Amino acid sequence: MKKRLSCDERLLTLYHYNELQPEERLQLEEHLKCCSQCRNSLSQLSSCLTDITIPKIDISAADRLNFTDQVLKKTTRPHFAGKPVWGGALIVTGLLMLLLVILPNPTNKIIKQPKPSLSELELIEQLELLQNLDLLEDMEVLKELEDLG
Amino acid sequence: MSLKRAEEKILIDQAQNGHDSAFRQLVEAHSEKVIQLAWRLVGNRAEAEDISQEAFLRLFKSLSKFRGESRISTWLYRAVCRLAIDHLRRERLKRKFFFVNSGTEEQLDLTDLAVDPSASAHDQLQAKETARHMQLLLNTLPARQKAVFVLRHTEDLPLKEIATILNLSEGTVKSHLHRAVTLLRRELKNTQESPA
Repeated sequence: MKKRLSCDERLLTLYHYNELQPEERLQLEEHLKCCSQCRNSLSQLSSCLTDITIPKIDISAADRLNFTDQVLKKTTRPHFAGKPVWGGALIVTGLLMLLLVILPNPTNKIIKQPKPSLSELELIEQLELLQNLDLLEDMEVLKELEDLG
Repeated sequence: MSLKRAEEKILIDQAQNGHDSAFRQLVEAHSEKVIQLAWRLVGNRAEAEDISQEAFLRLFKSLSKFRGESRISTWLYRAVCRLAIDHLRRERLKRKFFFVNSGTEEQLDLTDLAVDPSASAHDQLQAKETARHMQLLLNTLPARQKAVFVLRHTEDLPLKEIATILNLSEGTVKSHLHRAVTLLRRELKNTQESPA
């Protein structure tokens, strides 16, 4: 392997974490035998990474139990819990109002009257005649009153 | 408490059929590792527990779709990493917009740090100081690089699995790991060189 290709810090990182393919690993190991610079780099890298120990927190059995209880409590809670109940009522009211606006208003419809039958027409005419007769009678009464002075 | 794959499969089947006790066992088995990972990523216990709870709730909601092709731990790690990365990005944006200082030091919560109880008070103090230093170093990394580094260096997961967890290609994960290592080495060198 050419020295220039293998003098690659990225490969050294992956080598440290044992993440190279077997073939790449063999090639790098061959290269390391003849490249002191890479050997030094790898040694420094390994010692630095070994020093990096990421801390952890103390989680007691009681903490775990408490955590589990909290998770289960949330899983059993109904989906709408926590949201205001009136929120749903408002949505329903809004939808109903929207429906009322969108749907044709029954009060705006022209109410079709059924056609009057012949007998009904005759009755109306008779009523009109009666009214006219009443008027005539009223006129006659008025004339008589005028005549009387 | 760790579960074998067969045990885990039985518990998943039972949980899918509505057995609360089976889901409880799954939570108990994975909670510690999930909280530790969340804490390592966000550096605050309360936020780590919130993120972990959310991850378990998402698991509960997705149980019916869970086919058991991957392990529950992989699924949970994926959820925690995504939630933690989102959280870290939001925090970074908040700091940027509200002109808050780096804030990393103030945000560190090491009160519950696990230290060897048999060690002397001096050693415990020193361990806490080292831990604080390490967390500060980690906080200098961008969210995704931090996740890759923690999963590889601490959780000892292979890069292939990390790629699955973070939904990234293996090549991208390799690049993130190398960049994270380079940044950490530079920061370590700077802190060692700077006067105390």
